[in-house]
Amino acid sequence: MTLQQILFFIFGAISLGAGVGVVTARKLFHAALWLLLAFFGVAGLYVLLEAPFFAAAQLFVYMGAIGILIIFAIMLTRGMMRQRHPRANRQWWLAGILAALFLATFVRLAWQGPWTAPAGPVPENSLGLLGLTLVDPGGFALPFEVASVLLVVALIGAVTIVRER
Amino acid sequence: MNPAEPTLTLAQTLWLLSPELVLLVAGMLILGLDGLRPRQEGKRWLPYVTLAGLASALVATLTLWDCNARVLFVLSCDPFALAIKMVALMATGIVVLVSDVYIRTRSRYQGEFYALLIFSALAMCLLGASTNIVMIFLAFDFLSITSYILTGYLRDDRRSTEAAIKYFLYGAVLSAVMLYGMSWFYGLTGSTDLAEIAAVLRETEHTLRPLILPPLILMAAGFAFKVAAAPFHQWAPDAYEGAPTPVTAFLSVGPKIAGFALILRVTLIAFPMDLAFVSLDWRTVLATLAALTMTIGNLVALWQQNIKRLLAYSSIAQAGYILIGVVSASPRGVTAVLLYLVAYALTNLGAFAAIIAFSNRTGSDAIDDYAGLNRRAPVLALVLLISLLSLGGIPPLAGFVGKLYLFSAAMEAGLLWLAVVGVINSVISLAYYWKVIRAMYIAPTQTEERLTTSPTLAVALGIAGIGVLAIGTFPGPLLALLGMVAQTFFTG
Repeated sequence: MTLQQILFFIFGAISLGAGVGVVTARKLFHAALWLLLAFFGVAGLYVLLEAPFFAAAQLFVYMGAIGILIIFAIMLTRGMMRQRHPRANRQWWLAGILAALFLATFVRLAWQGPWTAPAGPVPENSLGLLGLTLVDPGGFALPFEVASVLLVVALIGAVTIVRER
Repeated sequence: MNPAEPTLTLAQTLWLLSPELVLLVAGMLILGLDGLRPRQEGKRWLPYVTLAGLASALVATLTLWDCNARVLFVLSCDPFALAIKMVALMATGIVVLVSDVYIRTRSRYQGEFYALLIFSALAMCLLGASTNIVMIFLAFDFLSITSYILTGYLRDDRRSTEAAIKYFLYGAVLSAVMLYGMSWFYGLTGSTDLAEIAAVLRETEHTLRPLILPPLILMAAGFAFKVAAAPFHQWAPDAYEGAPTPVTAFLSVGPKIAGFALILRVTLIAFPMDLAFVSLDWRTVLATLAALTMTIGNLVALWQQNIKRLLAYSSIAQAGYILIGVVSASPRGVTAVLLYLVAYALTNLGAFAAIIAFSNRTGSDAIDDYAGLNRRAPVLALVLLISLLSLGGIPPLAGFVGKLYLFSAAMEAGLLWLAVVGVINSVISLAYYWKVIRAMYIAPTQTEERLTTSPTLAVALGIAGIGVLAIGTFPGPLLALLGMVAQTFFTG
């Protein structure tokens, strides 16, 4: 096994293990902390995939901003810190069976799939190319613009819903 | 990114995007105008500015008629997209008409409401025209987010907030599921463009064969959520009941128009009929959904006592009928879907206009309170009667012509069993529509007090009632037009 493979398994185990922690934690606050660890594992996977920009964005935006936001929301909501939530409801076994079937199906598919998505070496200037693709009319300029309109609308909507009466 | 396509100049691109740009400007303008006079009470002019914005976008769409081009590689400007835009804009216009009094009397914040409606129309226009998975996902979530906000718009009303939370949680999970399915298609084919996905599938038919169905089911789950098709319909009754009634009217029509446009485009372009194995997969999946949706929607509707909930289940069942046309996957099927969407939009908006007019005066949505509506407000009762009969598929109304076309398209495509399920379901549905009609016309009434209707609601009632009758009696011209539109997908 190469060093890269070993690191891949370590980071993969961190993400998945932390993911299990998120859904099994009895306190919401603990679940949020597990979620931050899961984000960290994913950031490590991005580094291995030679996508440093995504790794940094994952650290700053998800672990930093969104993580803090979730924790603030929990701390500022009355009773959220102390409440202990049951881990599962009565249908947990049914959900478990379905999830296991789902996992088995997709692992099998991933194993045999002929993956035609472009593989191969990461281009030299990948960050620059990403930036260009987002503003290139032949790339994703329009989706990029739509995403910004979407964010503005979501912001207006959020303000409308929460502002003082 | 196809270099063979003719490149458009900046002016041409902007011209092709004009409906969307007009909507964007109109939405921002409403927010700005509303902000200029924050303390002003009433603001009766807001709906008219909104209508003017929608009308301008409609004119922009009309000037583009006959164009057939791709815009910036992610949108298509073809007759089908333009037809969907027109239906979406007109439906949103009627929603604005029915919102007028309701929102003015129940919320202090009107500007944002109309701006959000305009942005919803923008999202629908984008969704109807998207040819790239990235764009599809963005437009899909755009429409979802405006819908969640509109559902929870009456913050002080607990049921409105609860409805929004349920809708949001359900929608967030299903759009993630759909995105996961989409990522599989990118991984398998190396492209996010619908036409290129079809091209790769054609080349690698044999190796990809066993891999298509599971991701397809995931993607179909998201689409089914958008049009409220079973088994992803559970959000609909609660969201419809709790949402402000004009928003319910919008939810029952808008996402369905855009959602079916999306389903047709994805299935017919990315998984075309000449790819026998893929088309068999998705047609089986959607045929199952169609039968399930019709049956569940109609059976559960039988037990409802609240008219908004009743119409929620009815609109679930209607999605099932429309899916029959999608499964047919023929020019006749697409024509039938478009015709039924127009008929259904007019019919359902007419029904909701009547319900809003009733609840504006009485504050009630219980079917029992509709007793004696015939004597209290004859015109209101008549429009509701026409709408319910049209939803049930009684001639000579729009719903009848629509169903006739859907079922005949199914039979032409060799799906006799699906048409039979549809007919049986139509008969079942008459039972619960009759429940409302009996309350209005036969049940004894407690009060004889007359109910008046505001002018904007009267206009909406008039448009819907006359539209349903007109399509039902003279469907010829509309059918010819929609038949032409349907050719978008069938001429090389």
